[in-house]
Amino acid sequence: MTLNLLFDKILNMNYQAHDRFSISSEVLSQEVNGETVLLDLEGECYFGLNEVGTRVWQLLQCESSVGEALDTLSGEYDVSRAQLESDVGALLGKLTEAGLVTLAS
Amino acid sequence: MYRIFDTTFDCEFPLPELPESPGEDVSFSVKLGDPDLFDAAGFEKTFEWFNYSGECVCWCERRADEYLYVFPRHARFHVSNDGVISCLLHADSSVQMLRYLLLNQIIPRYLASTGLLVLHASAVTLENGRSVAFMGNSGLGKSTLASSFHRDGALLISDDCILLDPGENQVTAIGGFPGIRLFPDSLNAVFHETAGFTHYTPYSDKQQLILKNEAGEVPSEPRALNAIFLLDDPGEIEQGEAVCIEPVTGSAAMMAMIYCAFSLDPSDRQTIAHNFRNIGQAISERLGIFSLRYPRVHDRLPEVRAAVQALLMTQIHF
Repeated sequence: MTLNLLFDKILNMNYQAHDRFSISSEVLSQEVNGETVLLDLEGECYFGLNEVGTRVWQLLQCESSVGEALDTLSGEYDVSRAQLESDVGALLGKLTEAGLVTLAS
Repeated sequence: MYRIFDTTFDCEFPLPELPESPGEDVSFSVKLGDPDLFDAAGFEKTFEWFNYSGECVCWCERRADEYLYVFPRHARFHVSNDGVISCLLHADSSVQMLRYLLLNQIIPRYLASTGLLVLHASAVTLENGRSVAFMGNSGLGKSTLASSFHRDGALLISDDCILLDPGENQVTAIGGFPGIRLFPDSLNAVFHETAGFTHYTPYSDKQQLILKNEAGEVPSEPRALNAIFLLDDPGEIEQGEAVCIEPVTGSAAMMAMIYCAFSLDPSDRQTIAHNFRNIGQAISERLGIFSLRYPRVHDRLPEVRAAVQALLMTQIHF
């Protein structure tokens, strides 16, 4: 049994500010001590999110758009907007690739 | 009727290892099964377990909500979806081995299938009232460490398997099989004598000592659990190394507990989801999770006990 750590690879994925994501109904999530463990029941896989990834996941659960999430995170983390967009974009790409979220049409 | 993991059940044959229970509602039943019940037609194999020699020691088959557990040298068990466990003993095995598999494998797995959290862990209640669990794979020293604490005055909750209740305010633990099972070297090192210990299977050198809750040797009620220690693999630990305890947080703690959780069918989504939620609820600020690394040298056990107790003294909110 392995834990797949997300948020560790930069992908060239672009999203629009108004894009929203749906979380798969097959995914369970559990926050533990600032981190999050995701369980994909469909694929029987576990994924781990660090503190920032946990915050992004919380915003996805609130159905925030990409733009709204970036605005929120900009106020919480002392990093450049460009860095934030790159990192969040990479995470969203990983979550999509793993089938945990889908871009809502 | 008998009591195990704070649960009452009835059994068609004697279970001298367990305390008997006065008349209460039974949660499940154990019977000697009709051989026709164990016809594998329609069942599909879902999982197999192998020993270190590569020999298949057990497999699980499933047909809708029914399960067949086959221990090829010993026994078969049929678990129905209405809480009836049927047992069929292999001609070359023993009733004692049948009871061992029932109490230590089938019943814990059945209870896990009902949504309860059952972990492969030993646990003790220390003299100061704090309770701790030691978790890890077979052979890492759970039983030896728990026995060492018990010999030193702690109450043994279990030497191998605990049921955890991730309650609202406090996580509690209660044991199943009320006894100690050790290999001869650990038995002699911890107890210095073998009085009361007996062999329970021709397939292992381990000996067991049954403890009685009426004698106050095992708790009859769940105990508030303060910490869980994850035992490190001793493979790379030098004999002279210091005992080391470090906090394990977040996803690492959760994955370790998921790995040690019992299930009737490891691929069953409902059980996977139950274990996930229960473990998530259990890991909280009130339950510390720590890694415990120590050389597997019996003479160092007092040092390990002292380190665990010292850690608990510093964690005032546990």
